[in-house]
Amino acid sequence: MEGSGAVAGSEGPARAAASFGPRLLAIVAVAAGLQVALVAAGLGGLPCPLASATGVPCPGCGMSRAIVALLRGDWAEMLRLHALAPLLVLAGASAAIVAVLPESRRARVLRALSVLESRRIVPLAALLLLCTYWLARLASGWRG
Amino acid sequence: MSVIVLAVLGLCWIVSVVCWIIVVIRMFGQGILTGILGIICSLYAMIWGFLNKDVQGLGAVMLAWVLSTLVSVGITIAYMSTMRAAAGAVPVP
Repeated sequence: MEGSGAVAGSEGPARAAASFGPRLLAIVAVAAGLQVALVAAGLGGLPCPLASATGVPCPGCGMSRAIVALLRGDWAEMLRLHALAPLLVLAGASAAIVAVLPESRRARVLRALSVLESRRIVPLAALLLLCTYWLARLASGWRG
Repeated sequence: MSVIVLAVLGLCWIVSVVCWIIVVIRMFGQGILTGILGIICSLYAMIWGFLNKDVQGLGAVMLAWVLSTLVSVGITIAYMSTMRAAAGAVPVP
């Protein structure tokens, strides 16, 4: 694989994508589709381990329902459930596009992603955003 | 719901959350973005754990996580069916 060498020393999703490529994406796509379909049908889906065990919603609680609301075009409901849902949908769509790109282009994108990950400020900013959003929601009385 | 079933359900939830935390810690070892994905999407954490179970030595953790999830989902579905049947929403065969 042309991109493997380029991203072998990297970490995170770029390395995962380089290692498993379309296989990982296919499994994630099927699982995510199933989860969203179950939630849309009102049958739940994979329960949140943290919320189930402690009653405290995790930083991602409400994401599946928010994605369903987003797909239905109900922006107000989506914002109420999880404002970061569009980012996850965007990331998923981007990953799907990258997976079907020709090998050379995919390697280039993965290389760019690993450079982004190696700059600690970007992932740390994302983590800070997620934690701040989670704490703000908990403070506002959000219970999943 | 009987006390024993509730205890089993609680145990399954605790096992699930412990396994999830173990996997998320390993994901953070691979990179912050991977760890973030594991936090916001436990489904992704589960898939990642399965795909990396040999490399990360997560075989037993993933087995425990899947079993506890299946048992807790099964108990919840059975309980909801019982409640619906009791309420007359679903005819009892």
